[in-house]
Amino acid sequence: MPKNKIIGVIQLGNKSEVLETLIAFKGYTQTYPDIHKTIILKHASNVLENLIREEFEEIIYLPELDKNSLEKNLEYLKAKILKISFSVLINLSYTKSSAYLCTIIEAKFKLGFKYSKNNYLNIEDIWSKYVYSVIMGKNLNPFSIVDIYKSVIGNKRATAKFPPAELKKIIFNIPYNKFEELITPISNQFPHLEIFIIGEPYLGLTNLKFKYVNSFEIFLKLNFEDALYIGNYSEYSLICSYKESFCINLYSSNLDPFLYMPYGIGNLSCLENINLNSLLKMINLRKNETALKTQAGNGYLIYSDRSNGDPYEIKEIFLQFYKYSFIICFEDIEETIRIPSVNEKTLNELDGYRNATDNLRELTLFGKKYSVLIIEELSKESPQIEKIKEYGQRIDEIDSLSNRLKKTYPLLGPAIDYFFHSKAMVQGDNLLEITQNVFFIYEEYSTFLEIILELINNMKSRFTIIEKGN
Amino acid sequence: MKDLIVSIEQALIKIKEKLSKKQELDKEDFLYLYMASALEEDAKK
Repeated sequence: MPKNKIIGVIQLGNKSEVLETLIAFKGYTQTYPDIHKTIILKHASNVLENLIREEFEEIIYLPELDKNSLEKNLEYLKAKILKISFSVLINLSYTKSSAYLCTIIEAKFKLGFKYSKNNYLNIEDIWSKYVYSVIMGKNLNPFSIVDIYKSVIGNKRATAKFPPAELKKIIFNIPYNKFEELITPISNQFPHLEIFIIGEPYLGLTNLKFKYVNSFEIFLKLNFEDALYIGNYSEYSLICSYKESFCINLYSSNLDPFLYMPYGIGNLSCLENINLNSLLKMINLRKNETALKTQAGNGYLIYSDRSNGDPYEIKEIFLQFYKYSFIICFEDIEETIRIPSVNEKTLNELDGYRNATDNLRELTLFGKKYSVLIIEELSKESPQIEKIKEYGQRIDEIDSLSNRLKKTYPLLGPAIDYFFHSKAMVQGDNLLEITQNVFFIYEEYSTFLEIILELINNMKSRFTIIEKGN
Repeated sequence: MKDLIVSIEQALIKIKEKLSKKQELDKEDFLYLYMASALEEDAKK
């Protein structure tokens, strides 16, 4: 990278989102030592200022917007924001206000959400388009938000060290109703470890060894070396992840477990109603570096105790498919795929999805065909507008058929939504250029679906079919 | 203070008119749009 580049990062989110950004930037300075980094934040983030300064050379705090001092804020914004400029500006917030900010601030290149001069949402980079179409579209998603940030900013993934074989402390951040079930037996299993509990002292748990941490500021001062965090996804787990502690994330079933995953090789996630024995197994998994290396992939793992032979569900299979397909399409990197055990029900569902994916692929071929017809018509001396309109309507019908397919086969949502939005946001100075770009998108779409089909066909021949499960 | 609120509202009306005439927005327009959207997002929290 050329020297003296200045990059700006917009992060208007809460403490958790700021921490996710910091984790994403870990190692960036070592890789790009000559780049000056500025972060634009809301003032509420200043409790993390010391940590932020570990990754960023400059911080710009935006004024708190208040109806009683709008004039002052407007003058500040005009004086400060309209005068700054960057080589590259990266918007890591996915909101309207951050998109407007990204539009206002001067930069040679911009990544993330921004607006065009006609006030249309404009997203050019693939990973931000992925966030808009797949994650905000509430589709199946195999990536953590930190992975996505790292991909947007161009920082290598999974640089965290492996969890320590010898732990020195455990930090619990769990609901009170799990205290007695988990904390006391785990503490008895590891009597030499310090135990920290986030929250107020719990009367049912009287042990002088337990140290309660009742504020975020106090928590920030802990020593996180050789620590294990057990609890939900929060600014506490993110601090532990940033400090490279071993994390076991307990998530609730209605949250996306991949998006909100404690980042780092060997970190694990499981449902919050996990029992003691399974949790103890997970804690001991950290000693098995080989198992972690083969399973961790990009740096995370959803723990499922399949030693009892439970088969994969169709959703879990598609999560792997999408991880593989999006990464190979976006970054030309081949991920590992696990060949799972399945039962007859899943096999039948997979057959249905194979046919639906094939139908979708046929639709993309029609999309290419009609794009070519429009391009050919536009290239004539006297193009016929009626013909162009007709071909355009055929392309609209393809979108409508794809949406109907999505209703019956919702796991195709990530592919359908990503490419639909890519097409909707296509750029071009004139209709010919726009249509050429639409053609390229259909080409990419068709290749993407061929990858999924190949994965389905390859896996089917190698599945272990078992009777257990439903 | 009431004048300030009206000023943002007036700015948004002007922006809407510009867009309906297919005119491009400038930085000052986007500044008002930023403030309006930020206030809306804060109010939803």
